[in-house]
Order: sequence, then structure tokens, then C-alpha cells
Amino acid sequence: MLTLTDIEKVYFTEKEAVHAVSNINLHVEEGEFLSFIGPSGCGKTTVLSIIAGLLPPTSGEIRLNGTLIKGPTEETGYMLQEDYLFPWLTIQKNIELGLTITNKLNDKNTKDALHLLIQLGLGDKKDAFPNELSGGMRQRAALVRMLAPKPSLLLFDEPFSALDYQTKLQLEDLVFSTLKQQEKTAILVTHDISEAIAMSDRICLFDMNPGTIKKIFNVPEHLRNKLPFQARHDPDFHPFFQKVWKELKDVEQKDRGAS
Amino acid sequence: MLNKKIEALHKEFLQRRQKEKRYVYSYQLLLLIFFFAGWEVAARNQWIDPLIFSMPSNVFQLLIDRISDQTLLIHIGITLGETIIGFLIGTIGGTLIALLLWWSPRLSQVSDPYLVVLNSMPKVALGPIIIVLFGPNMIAIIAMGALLSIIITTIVVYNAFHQVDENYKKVLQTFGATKTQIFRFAVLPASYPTIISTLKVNVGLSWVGVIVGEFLVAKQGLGYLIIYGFQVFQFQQVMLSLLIIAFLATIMYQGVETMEKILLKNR
Repeated sequence: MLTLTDIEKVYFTEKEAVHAVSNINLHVEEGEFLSFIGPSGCGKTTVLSIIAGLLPPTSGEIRLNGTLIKGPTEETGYMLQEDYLFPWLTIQKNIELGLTITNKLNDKNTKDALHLLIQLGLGDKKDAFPNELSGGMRQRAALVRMLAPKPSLLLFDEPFSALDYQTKLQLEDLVFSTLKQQEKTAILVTHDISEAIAMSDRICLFDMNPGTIKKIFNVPEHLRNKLPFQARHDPDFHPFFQKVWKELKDVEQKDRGAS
Repeated sequence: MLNKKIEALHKEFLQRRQKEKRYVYSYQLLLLIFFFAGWEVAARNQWIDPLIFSMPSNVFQLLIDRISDQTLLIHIGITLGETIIGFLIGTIGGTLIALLLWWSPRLSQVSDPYLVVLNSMPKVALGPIIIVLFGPNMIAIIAMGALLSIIITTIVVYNAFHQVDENYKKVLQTFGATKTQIFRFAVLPASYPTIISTLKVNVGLSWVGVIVGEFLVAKQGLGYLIIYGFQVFQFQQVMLSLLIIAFLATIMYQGVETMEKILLKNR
């Protein structure tokens, strides 16, 4: 489905050239849920932006379903840390915006999007403006906006980090089940190990300076299919958490030693 | 029981607000009456020179005369027309230039020092050049009205375009939006509040430009009435024109404010 080959990214500033990510090779299967974790500044968001086509890699190539990615495509959906719903548009108009831009605004797609909105419990909010909604509701609306043009690959850049804990747990379950039901492929960038374990099939641990994938963990089979909230309460959750935690600590310690 | 109490309290609260509002209105009205009455009394008793300051009753008489001989409406129409056209050119032109600068970062960098110089320059000093350029006619006056507002509009609106949150653009980019779409769906609507607040400033600036323009070249218009009244020492006419300008400028400002409320009602 998605293949990254030898991705390198160098940023140039007036002071220096920063080697942000290096030697990223990754293959993601259809329907898989992948998480990127690592210390801040390790380039995980950079890799996500490169996959989204928002940033061109300095070298290397990305292929989505065989096609080379050169810029943003409608096959990919991207969700940011905050909802960034347009405050001057109603929820429905916000959702239709993605359809307008991808030239997919038609009755069927609008109906599907509204249906999804109802499914996510926002059916009565379609004519409301974003500032009338709570943070969790807004992030759900942003999810519908991303899904409306029916992308096959979904990219999440810490989408739950600005929410309070309860809302975050509820939203994790909601996103997880929505994606499973629609059989989407997804990549989640997060700094929260529990969230990564609860939601994903595989977890990529990033090392920094330059950012590389240090290790890929396979989440235990029976945790994968559980809803995130239930997975968090599984007896196997904690031991696995410890394992990932230890590796992440090693990475952070090594970086501190280096700098 | 509790509900009744709350209801009563709410009623009391509303009544207090109503009362406060009435106070404000009556003081405002009182101030207006006091001003005109004071003016009239002071002029009649020669406390101020009626030849220079005239008096409200004379000004009012002049207003009636000028309306009945139908000369006033022509002057008002001309000045108002010039101001509105100057205002529109300044605002729309400034916004278009801002769009151009937003579109091409290189152009904006190149033109930056020139904009700063043009903005700090007192534009009315360019009056003679404009008259030579366009001839002593209405076009020169409109050009003055537009010139005063166009540079500041460009700068303010360009800054507004520039300060739109990158993440709104990112949202659209992830859908593969073109630059035109990013402008139309994110940058422009996000800048409406700034554009509208420059409209308010531009109303005032356009009046300044047009009146100064009329001082310099006009044969008709309110600015002409002021300068003519001054030259032949007919200060009723000067006062009348000033009051009409104050009235019309306020109406225009209020119009922009109403538009603001309609356009921005959901923010």
C-alpha cells in the first residue's frame, strides 16, 4: 500500500543545515494501523508531512499504491493536533470544503459525510458553528472533514493531544472503530506510548540526530483487535508498555549523553 | 419558588440595564441641545463673534434656502459621489495590491521600502502633482481621495493575509488545494475582520482627500462651499457645510459598521 524508500530530509536555515531524517525505509500494508513514537524533535512529524506530500524529501521516494507521491493527493487525509475548523463556516460547510477542493462535491458524498457525522454523534450540529462545539466535538467534526473525500491513507499528527483525558479516551475508541469499519490504513504520530499501543498494529520507535526508525514493535495480536479502552485494561498491556518504555528511555538517554 | 425568585431578579436586572441606557441617551441628547443652544446664545449676545462663528438659526435658515433653490443637493451629490468612488478605489485597489504582494513574496520584498516611504509621506502634499497629472477636475479630486487610503489599505491588508494561521492553509493543502483555493477559502475569509476595520479608517481618509482636493480645484462640492464661504467671509456657509460633512461621514461610517455586523456575525 505505502512504501518509503531511503527517505532523507535536510532543512536549511541561515545558520546551518539540519539533517532532520535519514534512511527511512518502511512498508505499510493495506488496513494496517501504524504509530510513530520518539523523543520530540526526532523527525516523526517531518516523515508524516513527507508522506502527506506537504514536504518534498531531499532524496528517496514514497509510493502510495504504486504511484509516486510528489504533492498532496486526495488519497491521503491529514489531521492536525487541533481541529482547525474554519470558524466562519458551519460544521456542514466545513466538511464540504474538502469535497469542494478535491472536486468530489456531489449529493452522494455529501450524504455519506452527513451520515458519518450522525454516526459520530454530531447529527444535530451540522448547522452549528465551530465555536459552539466542545473540543472533542470539534475534533470529531475535523475527522469527518478528513474522511469526507474518502482517502485510503489517513495521517494523524497528535490529534488527541490538545484534548482532556476522558475526551481523548472516548475519541480513541471512536476513531479506532470508524477506521476499522471503513478498512482504512492509518499512521499516527504521538508522544503517548499507551495511545500508540492501544490503537496500533505496529509501533515505529524513532531515534534522533538524524531521525531514523530505530526499532519496530509488533503489538501483540489480541491487543490489536480490541478497542483502545479495552486494550488499556488487558493484562498484557502493561508488560508490553514496559518493553517499549525501556527502549524509548534508552533513546532519550543516549541523546542526552550525546548533547 | 426558586424559579420565581430568579425571574424577579432577572426582571430587575433588565430594568436596571434599561435605565442605564436611558441615562446615557438622555445625556447624549442633552449635550447636543446644550451645544447648539449655547452656540446660539453666545452668538446672539456677542460673546463670540457671530460674523465668524455664525449661529445655528442662521445656518438653519441657509439650509432651508439652499434646499429650496436646489443648489445644496448638487454640491452634496458631487462630494458624496467623489468620496464614495475614492473610497471604493482606495479599498478595492489596496486589497488587490495586497493580494498581488501575498501572491509573490519576492515582489513584496522588493516593494517593501517603497511602501514604507509612500505610507509615511503626507499624501496631501502630492496634491499639486495630482492636479497637474489629471487636470483641475473631478478625477483629480477622486484620485486624492483614493490615494490617501490605498497605501495604508495595502499595508494593513497584506499584513492580515500574512498573519493567517499556517495551519488553516495546511488543512486545505492536505486536500491538494491550489494557491487560488487557499486564498479564496482560507486567507481571504480569515482576513475579513481586518479588511472591514480598514474600511472604517478609509471612510475618514477618503473624506479628507476629497475635501482637500475640492479646496484646491473644485467649482462645486462641499469642500468648495467651505473655501468659497471662507474667501467671501460667509461663515454660515462654512458651518453648514461642516455640519453636512459630519452628518454624511457618520452615515457612511455607520453603513460600514452595519456591514461589519452582517459579515462577521458568526465570529
